[in-house]
Amino acid sequence: MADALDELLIEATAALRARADGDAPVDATRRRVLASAAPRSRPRRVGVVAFAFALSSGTLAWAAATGRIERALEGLGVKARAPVAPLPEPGSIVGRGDRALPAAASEAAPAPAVVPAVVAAAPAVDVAAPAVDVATPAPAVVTPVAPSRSRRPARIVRAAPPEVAPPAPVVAVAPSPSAPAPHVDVEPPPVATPAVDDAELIAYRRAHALHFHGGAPAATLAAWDAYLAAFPDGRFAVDARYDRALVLVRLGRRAAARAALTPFADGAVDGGYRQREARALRAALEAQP
Amino acid sequence: MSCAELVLSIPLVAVATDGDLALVARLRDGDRAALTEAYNAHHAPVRAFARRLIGEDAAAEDVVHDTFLALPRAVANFRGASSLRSFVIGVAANRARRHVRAAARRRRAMQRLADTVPGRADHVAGPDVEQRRRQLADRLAAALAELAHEQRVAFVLCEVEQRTAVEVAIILGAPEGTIRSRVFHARRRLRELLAAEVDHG
Repeated sequence: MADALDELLIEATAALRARADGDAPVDATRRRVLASAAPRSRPRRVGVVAFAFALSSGTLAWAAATGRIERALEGLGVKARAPVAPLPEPGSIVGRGDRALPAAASEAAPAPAVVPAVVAAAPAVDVAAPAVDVATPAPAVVTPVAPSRSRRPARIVRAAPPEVAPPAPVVAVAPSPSAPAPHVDVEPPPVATPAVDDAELIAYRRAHALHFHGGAPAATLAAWDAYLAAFPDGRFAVDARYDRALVLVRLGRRAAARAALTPFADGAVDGGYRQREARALRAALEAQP
Repeated sequence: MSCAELVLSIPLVAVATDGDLALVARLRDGDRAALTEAYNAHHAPVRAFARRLIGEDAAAEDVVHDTFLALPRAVANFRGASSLRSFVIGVAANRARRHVRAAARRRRAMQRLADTVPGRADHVAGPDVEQRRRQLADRLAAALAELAHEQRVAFVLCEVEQRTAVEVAIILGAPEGTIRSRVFHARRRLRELLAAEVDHG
């Protein structure tokens, strides 16, 4: 029963594989794609921008007329036309620059209630670390700077790294229950293609280019051999072995080709990879006088 | 078929060629001619994959449409570790998700309707080999609809299209072990579904 089911599944898989393209409306779909990809009409985009501008202008005018802007600035600790406060000592407060803020300076800043709490929430950052290497790139931590008025926008601060810290581009900050939710820089989603060793990729591409773009068979075989010698367990090793077997066929080295095809034909490679084609090739080789 | 013909007919696994990289650069720049070029070069394997995955020609055309429409933005993630063709298949696998669900709903509705009509044509077993092949393909397509999307995609790419686990891992951006596991579970579930079908006559 199990064997019969396996055979049925294999047969059904082959039938699905053989499902031909038929008379698909290729041109119709191409036209749909190109029509859908056409740029949107400019008036609509301009209209959206104009509407947004008018809306924001109106809101600002209303806020200015009713004195809400002034109150909002006061709420943030900024007085209109007030003399500018003296700048803090260099190193005591870090803005958007790339230099790191020593932990001690951070603690000495006049906002001890907020900054240490948020920084301490980051698991990888040791606030109490006495020794600080400012040359080491620091993980980015986002924290509000305002001492008590929590409605200020969040600012990006570079926290001090631990004494021995692995490179960590972004540190996730747990939100404090009392503080507003901080803005966290999010890395882009992972790339769809996993990383492949550059040297391996280069070697594979060289052989591949020769194989599929008109390289001389002898040079192609040498390139496959070089790849397989350097990366016998490489990510493309299975394909390289198979392609190498094809080159041997092209070169007329039938015995070597048969030997190279046999593991594939016997289903011993990667669960039957290219088994059908390898069997057909081997049979064709054996049938030749 | 001669040896040379056989060699030429065998599908390949590839990394990005210089032509792929140039085309991707043009797609990133929003070149419409590049989109046409990409479509002309890759629509056939995308369509074949979509048909095998969904089992419906019309829905497959929608997948082709969605795939190439999404391509200019999707190539932002193209790093050249796979051929552009493999990358486009990966985009199609993602875009097919909602079409697969819709097609499965339609298939079930049609099945309910057909069950109420006696003497349906495709229930008649004919001697014709081609007809039997079509029926088998339809049965497998219906069984595939019962699988989770990830298992279904992995099965179609590995078993139906006979790609290596390495290549499928690159296409789908998942570890090889995960791909093998998905195929294993898909195969087991498909066998169960086929067995149930056999038991019910």
